[in-house]
Amino acid sequence: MRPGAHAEGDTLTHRMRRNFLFHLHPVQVPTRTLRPTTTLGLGVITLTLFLVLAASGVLLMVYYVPTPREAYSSTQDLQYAVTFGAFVRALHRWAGHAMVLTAFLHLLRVFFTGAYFRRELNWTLGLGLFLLTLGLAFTGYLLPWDQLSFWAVSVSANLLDYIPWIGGSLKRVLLGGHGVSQAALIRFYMLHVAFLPGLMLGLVLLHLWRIRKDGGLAREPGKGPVDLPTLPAWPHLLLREAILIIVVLTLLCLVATFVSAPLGGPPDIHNPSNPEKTPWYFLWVQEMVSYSAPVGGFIFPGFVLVSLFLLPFLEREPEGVGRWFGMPGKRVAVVVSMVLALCFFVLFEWMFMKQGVVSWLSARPPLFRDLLNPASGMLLVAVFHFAATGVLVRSTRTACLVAVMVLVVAVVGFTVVAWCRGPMWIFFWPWEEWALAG
Amino acid sequence: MPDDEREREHRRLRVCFLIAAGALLCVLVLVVIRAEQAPWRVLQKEFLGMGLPGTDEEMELGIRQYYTCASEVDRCSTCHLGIERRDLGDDNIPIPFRAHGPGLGGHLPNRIGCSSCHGGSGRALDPGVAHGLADARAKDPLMGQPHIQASCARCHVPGAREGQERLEQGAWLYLGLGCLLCHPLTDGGRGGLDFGPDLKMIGRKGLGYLKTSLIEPNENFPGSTMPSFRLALDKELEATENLLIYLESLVLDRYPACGTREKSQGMVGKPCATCHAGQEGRASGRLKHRCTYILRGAAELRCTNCHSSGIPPTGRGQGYCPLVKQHREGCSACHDGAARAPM
Repeated sequence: MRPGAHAEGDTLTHRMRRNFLFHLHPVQVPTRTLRPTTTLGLGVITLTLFLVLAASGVLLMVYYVPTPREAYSSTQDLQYAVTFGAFVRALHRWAGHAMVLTAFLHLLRVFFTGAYFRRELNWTLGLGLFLLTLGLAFTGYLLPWDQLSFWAVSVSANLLDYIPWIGGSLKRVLLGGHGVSQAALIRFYMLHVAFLPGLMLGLVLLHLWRIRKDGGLAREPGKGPVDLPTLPAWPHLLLREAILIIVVLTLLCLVATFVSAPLGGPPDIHNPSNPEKTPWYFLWVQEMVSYSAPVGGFIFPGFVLVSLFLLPFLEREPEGVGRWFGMPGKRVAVVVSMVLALCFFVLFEWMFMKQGVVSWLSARPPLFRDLLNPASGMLLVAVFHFAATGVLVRSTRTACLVAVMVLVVAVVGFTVVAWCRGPMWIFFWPWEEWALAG
Repeated sequence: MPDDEREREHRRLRVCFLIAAGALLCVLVLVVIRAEQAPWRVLQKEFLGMGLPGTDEEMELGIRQYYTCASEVDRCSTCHLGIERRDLGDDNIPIPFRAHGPGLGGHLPNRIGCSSCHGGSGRALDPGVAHGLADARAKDPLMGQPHIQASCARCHVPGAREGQERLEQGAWLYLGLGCLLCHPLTDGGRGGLDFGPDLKMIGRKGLGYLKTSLIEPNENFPGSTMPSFRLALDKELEATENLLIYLESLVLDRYPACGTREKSQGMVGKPCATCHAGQEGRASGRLKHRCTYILRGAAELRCTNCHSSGIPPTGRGQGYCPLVKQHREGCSACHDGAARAPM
């Protein structure tokens, strides 16, 4: 028997101290950790969604058959005939979409609070997890094998073509051929149910372990746990986390039971819908590719990805770590840049939708269009903001914050614009009816 | 933080936890209630509550399913519970529970399902989807007359049986208007690409679209070289609808394994023996063509110019009829794959 198992005062609190969860959390946590605004609970929400996805995914696997003949009909069976099938399907679908969103917000939270400081490994793991989340969402998108998923995946896979040298081969390896077919379906299925979730589980455990090893939530260097007011993790942290998890589950179940997951008609491999869009989390790339393939399909996303990976190695300013948007005196720069970026974005889009500008550009060599379009424009604005802030404010953290703010405005903006696009990729306001002009 | 404040905080957290857990439990109960309220369950309860002869409130029904000729699952009878019960043909019985009207013939639901003829999405149990096409949410036109006649072509030659007159007239129009000169039927008798676009899926577009395409071809396809059929069809909405019914039949998969399929449909497998009755499948030279189009269009085709002995031509099949040979692609209007068949 372990010492103290039946000792006097064997209250819940004492027993909780021996809980497995204390491998994850320290016994005492700084009171700052408990404040909801510190992290917004985004990591816990994302982890909860991952576990929900794993559980509901296993249930879906019981019925799903990954062959072109059976994939659609087994999805129909799940949707219409299997007991709670539609609910589990909706749960899986909405949790999947939500996880992409919360993982993205979690990434932004870590960035905007400077929490990557001297945590190069965990930042890299986190980025890897975000890419895995996108990969899982994308591979899962094909599996219902309806008109929507078939063509969305075809369009997204074609985006790979814009990566120079290796893009074409990458696409062939992913699809097992030139188009979406049986080979692609079984590959996506394998990636979705075995390879990517396995990898994800491993990385999640490493990610959680690193948080503990790095000393919990980020705070300014030199301020150890000793210097800060603390509270016992049980009940103050663990109960808060439990409440958050239950709230997430409740909301998910509520949404899943009232909003069913969409299921289109069987795929018509000769007739794509018009417009044919990628899943929403790749819409910004599709939008940028519609301006310029090399910039939108490779330079912009590549630049964002590489700078994110290099960030903790290059930006090592210790001031303001753990605070939203850095030092209080310099936050105004972030707000100003956000407003400026929004103005630039609207200006670029407005210019680029003018018929005169487009026809003037199409009469010039392709290089003009590659350089003069909203995607290149926003990239230049980001670089310019970075340089200007670096010189004016003399803080690399603020310069990075400002540049990323511009990029976030661009990515969100392009997603919204692409979402509004109608047939022939013509822009329509959400309240306008889609109709072909002329 | 002082101890008593911590204790209060702990109590507050516990209350929040209990409230959240209670909410989750309520939502889970709601999930179960919602699943119980699936439309087909509600309808089955209603059916059992009607106290019809041969039913009992304790009866267990559940999801009932049949299989179509192509072995597709068909769950229509889960809600259409009286469809096979001849005693429930009374007009007072509401529609989902009433027996099938006359004209079912040998097409028993338990043998060929419902969606073989009525279209829709037979796997679905959501009425909106089940009665429509899974992607459209609008009612499948095949659900009612006269468009249901398009389904006959899945097994029967248009015009071979009674009750498919509109389909037959549509097929005849396709030949008579010369549609297949540009829009062939080389793809298994159901479309194909030649001078004009493939018409395999145009049946899904509806009457308005088809009418525009025929009267004002440039409207749907700017720059189209197709001639306008204004003179032939402008006032003939019924004829256009017949053509649409025929085009709708091109969308549907054929049921080659169907037991009642006319023998002449087997042209893909044994092309010669289908027309030339032979021994052990070998052609022996006697043309026994009973094609409805040749029979009824004999005057128009001027068959008697050559076949003085009467119609159908039963002479030796040596000098293939040049007219039929020239227009043999027209055979595909009924016969899948006939374009490759020697005539």
